[in-house]
Amino acid sequence: MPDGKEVDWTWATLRDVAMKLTVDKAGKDATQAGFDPKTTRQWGFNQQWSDSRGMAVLFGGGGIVAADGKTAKVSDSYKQAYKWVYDGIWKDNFYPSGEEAGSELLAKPNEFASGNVAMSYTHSWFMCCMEGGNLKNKWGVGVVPAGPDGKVTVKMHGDTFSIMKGSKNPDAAFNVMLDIMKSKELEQVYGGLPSGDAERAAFFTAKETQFKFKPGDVTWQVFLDSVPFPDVPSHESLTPNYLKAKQRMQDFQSLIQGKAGLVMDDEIAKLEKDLQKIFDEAAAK
Amino acid sequence: MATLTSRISKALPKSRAQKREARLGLTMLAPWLVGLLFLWILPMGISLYFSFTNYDPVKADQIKFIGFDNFVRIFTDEVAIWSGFVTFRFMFIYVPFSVIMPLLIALMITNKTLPIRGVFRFLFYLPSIIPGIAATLIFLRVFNVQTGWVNRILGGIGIEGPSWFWDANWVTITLVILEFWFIGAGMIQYIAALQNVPLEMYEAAKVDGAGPFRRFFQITLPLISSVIFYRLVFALIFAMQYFGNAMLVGGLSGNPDRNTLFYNVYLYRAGWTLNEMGYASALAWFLFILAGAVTIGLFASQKKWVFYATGD
Amino acid sequence: MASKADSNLMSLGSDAALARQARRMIGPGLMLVMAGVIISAFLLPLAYMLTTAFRDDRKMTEAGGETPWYPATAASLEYNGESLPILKVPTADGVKNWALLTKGREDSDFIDPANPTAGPINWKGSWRTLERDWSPYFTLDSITESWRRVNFTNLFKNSLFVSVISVFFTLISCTIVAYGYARFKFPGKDILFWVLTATVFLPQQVTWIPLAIFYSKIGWSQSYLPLIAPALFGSAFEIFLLRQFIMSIPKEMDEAAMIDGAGPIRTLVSVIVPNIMPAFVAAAMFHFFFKWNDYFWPLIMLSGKEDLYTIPLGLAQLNNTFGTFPGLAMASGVIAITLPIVIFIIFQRYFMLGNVVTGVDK
Repeated sequence: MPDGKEVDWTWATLRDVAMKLTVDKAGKDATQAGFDPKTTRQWGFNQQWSDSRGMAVLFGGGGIVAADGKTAKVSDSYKQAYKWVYDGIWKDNFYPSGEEAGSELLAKPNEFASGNVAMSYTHSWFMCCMEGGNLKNKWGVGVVPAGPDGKVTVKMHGDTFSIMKGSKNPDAAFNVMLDIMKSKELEQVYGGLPSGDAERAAFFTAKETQFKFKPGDVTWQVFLDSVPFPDVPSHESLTPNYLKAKQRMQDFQSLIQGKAGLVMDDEIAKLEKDLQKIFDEAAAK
Repeated sequence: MATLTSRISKALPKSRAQKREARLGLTMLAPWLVGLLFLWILPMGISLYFSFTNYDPVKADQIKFIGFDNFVRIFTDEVAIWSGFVTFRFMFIYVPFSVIMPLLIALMITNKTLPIRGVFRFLFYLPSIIPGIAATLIFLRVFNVQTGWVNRILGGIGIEGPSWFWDANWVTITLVILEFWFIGAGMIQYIAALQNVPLEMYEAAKVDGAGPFRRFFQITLPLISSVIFYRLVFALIFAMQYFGNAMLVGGLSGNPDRNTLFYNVYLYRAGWTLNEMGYASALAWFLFILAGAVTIGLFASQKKWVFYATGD
Repeated sequence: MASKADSNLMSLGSDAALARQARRMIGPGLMLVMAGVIISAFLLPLAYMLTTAFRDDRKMTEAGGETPWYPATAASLEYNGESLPILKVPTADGVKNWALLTKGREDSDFIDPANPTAGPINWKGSWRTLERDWSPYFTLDSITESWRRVNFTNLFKNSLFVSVISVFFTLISCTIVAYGYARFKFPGKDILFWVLTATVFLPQQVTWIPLAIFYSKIGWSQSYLPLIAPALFGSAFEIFLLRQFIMSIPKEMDEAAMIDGAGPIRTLVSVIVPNIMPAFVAAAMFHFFFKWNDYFWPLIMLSGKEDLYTIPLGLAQLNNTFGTFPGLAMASGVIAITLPIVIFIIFQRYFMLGNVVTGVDK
């Protein structure tokens, strides 16, 4: 902390830091009296490239489906996260709203690269796309705080490739997959953290060259240490009637980022009700 | 006299020349007739069929006849009703606006006291040829709450501008402003109609002591009523089908808070992203019937108030 | 204006004449001011696009917020391999243009560009309240970069291909159909003309789904065929326009050609077409812009096949991909509208004519 005190790295701490890092036109930060959220010039925190489920894993894994696979239930960890994000946008003002993200200051959907967001929670592959921005190599990586239960949870996408049973050309598809795996260049373009240890070291070195970092500028170890803490159940787990559920979740995300003055508990209850209808429809078929 | 001869010619047996002419005429129309069949009639028939089924292209083999379920669903689907409301609200503002504004601009441009009228006509027409998507991308930035020029200018004169595209109360109006950019065609039609009003009629009215307002309402307005009629029909039909720019502004969720979830956006979303093509077909047919009824109603009413200078 | 009117008054020496003269001068002046204000507001978005497309975009987004209304750049200082923004700092000896070295909330360190070796100067206050040192600057960087990133060469090629071929087909089919409507009597003509009118008004959504399925069933998805082939069957706007013009040609002209032994097609080509050139150009323009600006069908039919994308699809894609800088977005807008505007300027007369005759929008 600026006053030199050591504090626990929790989500509450992160919020306080994010608010301090949120600055308006007059140079006031979001914790100060007279801060004007209408003229924010720099935001403290955002989540980039997240769908509405991805943005909800801050406090632990969870989901929108109960264990039986057919009841709509927004897990408590998700509920807490939605409330936290919502307050971050509309009350504490450190998290850009949908509108702010679309302004010239943030150049949606690449807000972090604009240089006007202090901390962003996103995937490692996003390193592909920060070069073009104002940011250059003035960034680093850090660990996310532990959840309220003291457990660390990391939003993780395990990208795998599969060949469909009905594929017309399984052999050719397999060859393509092999080529993707073998090609160092494609691996860099793809940007996901490789699964093999040796490849990982090469991956980090390549990133250092790309951004003209000196060794040690970025704590790559963060990526490696995060791997054992994926969100369980995953935010990308199976959902009944997926297309419709996804659309409803997208509407929910738009709502969170677009409308002030909501009571989150009510909105989540509405969401659950609608999702239940959507799930039932799938079960009836 | 003319009607008499035509009656006689109709009564007479068709000559070979007439038959040849009819055959030639229909041959000339052939490309369009084929197009009518394949681009309108058949697709309409097929979508009518779909509208009574649960057709989903991914599960095409499970297609099943479900009677009027899709049509009943339109009236029980909260979101569909809401999208109808969004569309109607837009129509309510857009239609009067798009009938009157081009007329006002046309009146200004045809006013003889205005210098360089041709330049103004050109400039007012100019945005009409810009692709809608480019125009929308520009407007989204110009009307941004923080960095947009509109709010910066308003701020400069001490007015705090709203959030425009991001404010549920303003987004409809902002879309109408965006559509105002495409007044070119309407303006040109009004200009042509205004220039066709015979000057002698104004002179005569002036002699009778009619002021400019009376002259406008008693001479100009009736004489350009046919253009007003066309503008009205087009504005209504356009508003009912409003789609492209709205989807660029609000996406499939209809941001902010479903306020740009127009009927057609909802139709697109049902058919193309949720694969409910049976339901989407029913939505399309419902719109088709509605638009048809409105058009026929307007055309039927035009005899009462639209003035055509000549018979043909 | 007013003083000129005054002096005219003196020379005229009559109150009534003066008033008339003044009205004659002030009338146009007032009208011009009014029309000028309206057109400025009307074209404000275009001004924004031009300013943003031709400015030094990197510097502008870096500064954020209130950037100038004209294409500009912001001064900066190269210092120890870093590019430092120069700000207008109010000091006891007036406003100084200093480069910002270390940003702080309550105080910041600056370097005086005139004397960089003197080291940092501490200044109390928030640097965010300070203005950048702007100067007018015009660059094509955003244009060239967005051209490269969005691959406009390819988009242009695709859009031109689709538009030009469609225009060619549509002119042929519509001229023939319009000729049929204008010159031949046949049973059911009134009804067919009524149907033609209806296709202008009625919502096409009702045909979307079956057409999209049909095109993909016959293997036409991800190709230009669904965009081009319909042009072979004519379209209502263009048929209206051409029919109207053909009807204005005296029928004696075709009859004379017929007597000379010309068939209907020869008559059409040698008598009708040369006489309806303005309508021909107008119809071509309509169809060209329609195809050039069309977003929906290309989106449905070409999705996922990027090398076939047309300009509107490219624009939408640009808006959705990484690193959307305002300058790049607006530059791509400038590129996309340049050709339509040039064509419009050249053929303006015909285009407006077409609007009047058909009485419809396109």
